[in-house]
Amino acid sequence: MEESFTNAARPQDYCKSCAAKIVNDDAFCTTCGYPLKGTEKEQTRFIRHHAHAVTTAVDLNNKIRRAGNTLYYLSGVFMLIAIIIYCLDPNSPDILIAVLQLVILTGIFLALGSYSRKKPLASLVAGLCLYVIMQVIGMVNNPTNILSIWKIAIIVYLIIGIRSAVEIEKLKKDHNVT
Amino acid sequence: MITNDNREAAEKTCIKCGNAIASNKQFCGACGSRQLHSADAVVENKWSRIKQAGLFYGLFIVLCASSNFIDDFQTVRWSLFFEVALATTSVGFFTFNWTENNKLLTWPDFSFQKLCAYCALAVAASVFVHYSVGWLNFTMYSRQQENFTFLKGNILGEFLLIFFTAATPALFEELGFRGYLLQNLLKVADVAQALFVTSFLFAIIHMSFVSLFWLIPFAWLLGAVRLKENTLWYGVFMHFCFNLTACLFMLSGL
Repeated sequence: MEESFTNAARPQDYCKSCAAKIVNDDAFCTTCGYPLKGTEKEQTRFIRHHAHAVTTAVDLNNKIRRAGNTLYYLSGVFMLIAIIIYCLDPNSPDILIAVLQLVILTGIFLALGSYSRKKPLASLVAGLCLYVIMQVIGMVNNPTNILSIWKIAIIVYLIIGIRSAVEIEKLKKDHNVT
Repeated sequence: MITNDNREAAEKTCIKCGNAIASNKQFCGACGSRQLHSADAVVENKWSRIKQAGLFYGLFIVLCASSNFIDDFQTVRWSLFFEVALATTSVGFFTFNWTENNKLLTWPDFSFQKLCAYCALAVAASVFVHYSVGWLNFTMYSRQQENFTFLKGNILGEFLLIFFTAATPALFEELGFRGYLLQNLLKVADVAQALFVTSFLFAIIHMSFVSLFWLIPFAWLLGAVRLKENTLWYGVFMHFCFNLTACLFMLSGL
């Protein structure tokens, strides 16, 4: 937001809200919509709304990051389970298949966690669906499988992350914030 | 309002006051209104679209998990019930967004050579998958995995096998995933993300670890063909040829 002005460019040549250069006699900034020729009250109200949008964007970004971290957490949990079950019974005939399946899950969630930093919406939707499928399959053998505070928390975190990823796109378009 | 410097970039007018605005500007300099593009207007209901897609996929998860993992449902009658339920889900959601999906059922620029080429590609992919999955199954489980074992001894067994594994999935999975789901996600995310999500969700709904390595690229290929050709029909035929080849391998016992 803040920008130092050179002698060549006067302060009134720049938007007070987004610091974009004003190249003509516009009444509104064409980058952020700031009322350049509005009353002081209108300008203050705009700045307040824009500041609120920036705060909301920071909050949404944090939620998206936490949901992405959930994917990393799941990856770590599956790796840990693989190590534990292998150490408990390394000579069991089916142990390698079980460990291999857990290692595949570890890899998938690790890749989705990494992808969530670039494309949060796609990776969080994919991670949520995979996790829900695993829980539904688990419920076939044990209907109370899903009744765990951790499992519900993971699903809620991912859903909040997806919603935040959707909302931040709208916020970027409406208020031109990053 | 527009200077000589940027007059060349003035390619649009304000949606509210009609003032000329440079095409790269998001707000009108005269009235201050935000310039919504047609794509942005659709974006306003993104969250509703995601919830609708979630309902579609949730129904698929419940139906597929029930038919795959509950022993009591491993009968011809129950399999028919689940096929009808999955088909109804696909058709229902596809027709719910009929105005934006119906153009996918047309077949613009039909080319017989192109159809044959796509089908040949699908058959080649199926042959590769058959032998690689066979090797993987034997390596991991020391046996070949068998599907639809309940059809053995059934007088219509071969017909039902082709019906369950080749015909209905080709039509209704394409209608559901490359039709409804991909089209819906294209309104929510960019093309790369929509294609990735559709392919990934299609792969994991088959609920098989071994099959993931070929299902994701195959689903991606079907999605890419659907986007390139702007019709579902090439994908339906590719999917049918792929599944029919796998089916014939099963019947021949190779």
